[in-house]
Amino acid sequence: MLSSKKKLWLAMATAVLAVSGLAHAGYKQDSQAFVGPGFAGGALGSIRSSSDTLQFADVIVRDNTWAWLVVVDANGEAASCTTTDANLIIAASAVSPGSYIYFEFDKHGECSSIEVRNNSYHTTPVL
Amino acid sequence: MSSRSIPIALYAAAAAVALLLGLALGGGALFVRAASRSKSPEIERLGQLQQTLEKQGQLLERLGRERAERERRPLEAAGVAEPLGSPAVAEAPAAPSPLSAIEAPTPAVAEPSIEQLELEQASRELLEAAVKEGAWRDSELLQFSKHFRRLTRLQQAGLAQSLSLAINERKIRVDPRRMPF
Repeated sequence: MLSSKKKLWLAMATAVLAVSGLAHAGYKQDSQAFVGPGFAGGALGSIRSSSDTLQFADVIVRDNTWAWLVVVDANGEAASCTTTDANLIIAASAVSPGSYIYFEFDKHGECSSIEVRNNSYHTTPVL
Repeated sequence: MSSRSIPIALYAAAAAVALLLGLALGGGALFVRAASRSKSPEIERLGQLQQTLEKQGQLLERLGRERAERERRPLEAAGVAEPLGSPAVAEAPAAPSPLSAIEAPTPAVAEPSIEQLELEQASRELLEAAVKEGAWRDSELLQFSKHFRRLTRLQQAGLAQSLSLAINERKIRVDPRRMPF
């Protein structure tokens, strides 16, 4: 038979486990870096938290005059594009640490499309 | 002054003018011949600068064309504008130049100075060297970064695009520890 002290400890442990479980609830989606012909993307949080040391993503917006994006996947494959288009620069400026990014580019290395998703299910980077 | 002395003075003056003209022409011809025989470093540098300016012009023109095209597409989709080449466009007043199309939203873009053109040329050479090697050397990377910061935004965009192209063509490795800008 458990003593009342042990029962108290057991109750507290169960409560802690339950609360920690709740803290991680909600739909989550992992999106590692991907690179294809003329496109690339991934979620910054997933890329940061990936187990390999190759993946990374970088978005540079310079004085709203040009933007540069690069993504490297787990195999070391890289894709990059640059834009001076005002609308695409606005899109690139919306990137935050928890963003999912996807971009397309032409054969000259110029961005033709930049998509930025800021949502609840792409995890923010773990520092 | 006697009546005979006038023609002599005229002849003398004409001869002097002819002599001066001859000297000037001869000197010019000699200069041109010398210049064409051996190009001085300054002339070569001017040639390089001219090439850079031409490249800049081409880039500006292309960016402007593409922007104008992008801006036209939604209007066409909405039925506001006719496609290019249609009679409505042919009769329309002159469209803004491609340069004005990209200058309007980017007031920070300034004309590059001669020094900036030289820095851009040097940066391109550094980038080419890195592409040849497949990666940046420390000294090249440092120099490139220094030059890059002093360029106009448009020059920076041009170089960034060249780097993007090199990355996409697998000609250079990209490493977050060794970013050029």
